[in-house]
Amino acid sequence: MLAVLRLAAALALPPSDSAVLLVRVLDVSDARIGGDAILITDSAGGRARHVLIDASDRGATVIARLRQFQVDTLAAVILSHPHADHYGGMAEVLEHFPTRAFVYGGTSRAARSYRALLAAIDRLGIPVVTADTGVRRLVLLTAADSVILTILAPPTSCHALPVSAGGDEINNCSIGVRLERRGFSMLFPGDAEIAELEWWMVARRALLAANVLKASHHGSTNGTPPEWLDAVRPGAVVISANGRQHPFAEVLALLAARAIPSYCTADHGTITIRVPQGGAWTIVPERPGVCHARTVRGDR
Amino acid sequence: MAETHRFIVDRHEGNVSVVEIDGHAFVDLPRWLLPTGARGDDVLGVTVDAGAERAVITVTRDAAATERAKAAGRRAVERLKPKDPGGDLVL
Repeated sequence: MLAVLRLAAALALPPSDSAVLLVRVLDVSDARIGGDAILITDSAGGRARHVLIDASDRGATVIARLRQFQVDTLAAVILSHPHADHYGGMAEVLEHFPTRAFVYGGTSRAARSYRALLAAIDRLGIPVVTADTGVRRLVLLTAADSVILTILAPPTSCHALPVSAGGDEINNCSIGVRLERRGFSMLFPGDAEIAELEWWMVARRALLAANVLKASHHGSTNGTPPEWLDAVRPGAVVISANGRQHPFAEVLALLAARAIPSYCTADHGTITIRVPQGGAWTIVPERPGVCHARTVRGDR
Repeated sequence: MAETHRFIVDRHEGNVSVVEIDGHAFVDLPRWLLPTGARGDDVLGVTVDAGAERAVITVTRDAAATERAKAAGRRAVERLKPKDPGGDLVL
């Protein structure tokens, strides 16, 4: 009997949620400085394929979440930008889950832990997509139901970043990700601030409209200007907030004024966007509640 | 005998600075604890002379170590470039 149960557990690879596409903005609020970790699961081909965007600063937390959702391998790991609250847990994740591709913007940092991450990717032999210019695409291929992840490179000025600007401009060298599957789309702009958002609004405007927007920079005012909402026209905004100072009251007020529903990991826990085959997308928070501002007024 | 440590600035978030300490852990510090000119990627030398009643902590930007760390970061990126298969990727 025990053997039968073990076999049944081993075969339970597809996620228990039967939706074809799931985007889980993970609650990593027990991490010290929080950050982003987003799990995309595509089950259209009958077996689950997973892509992880960022890994917060605490690998153990992300690993526990991935195991909770029955992840065994990762089709790709995407690093939006090299700040510790986005890459800090990534090396540990890569050591635990076989990964088919690593995607980043090719930005260098001085921190030893970041250099160690890149060295680990080299040692593990993971193919690398350096999205430092133009547009690259990752395709989770399943005939008509394929999920396409369009990678938006940062401005070319980021190439000179290590010398000219130092590490203070890293947010504005985020890579963006636009997820698309049939009629559904979601945009992940990393921590891009005004300068990069404006650049994308000029250079990549046709790729910005999305049903759901992951708020840039954890719901800071410099990540969600009104013009950005005009370009994206989201039906809902998900805020991956780290519980210390995000989100900002101005952003929540702006979304409320436009009647755009908002969801915050600090208040709602893990937030799941469900995209069933042939049906309308829905957002399912782990727990009920409303977004609370952690900063009433600020410039970041 | 003073202790020595090394910070590398990850970023500033408002009045908080996030620094890597001695190459592994990250901690949040009040921004006022660092030199006013400290920027992301700066290497800061830290000396701590602690007694029972007083601790003197000196935080100094180390320009030479900063340049060495940045150069090492650039080499790490360069090493990965040949691993890019190019074009779109079907997974």
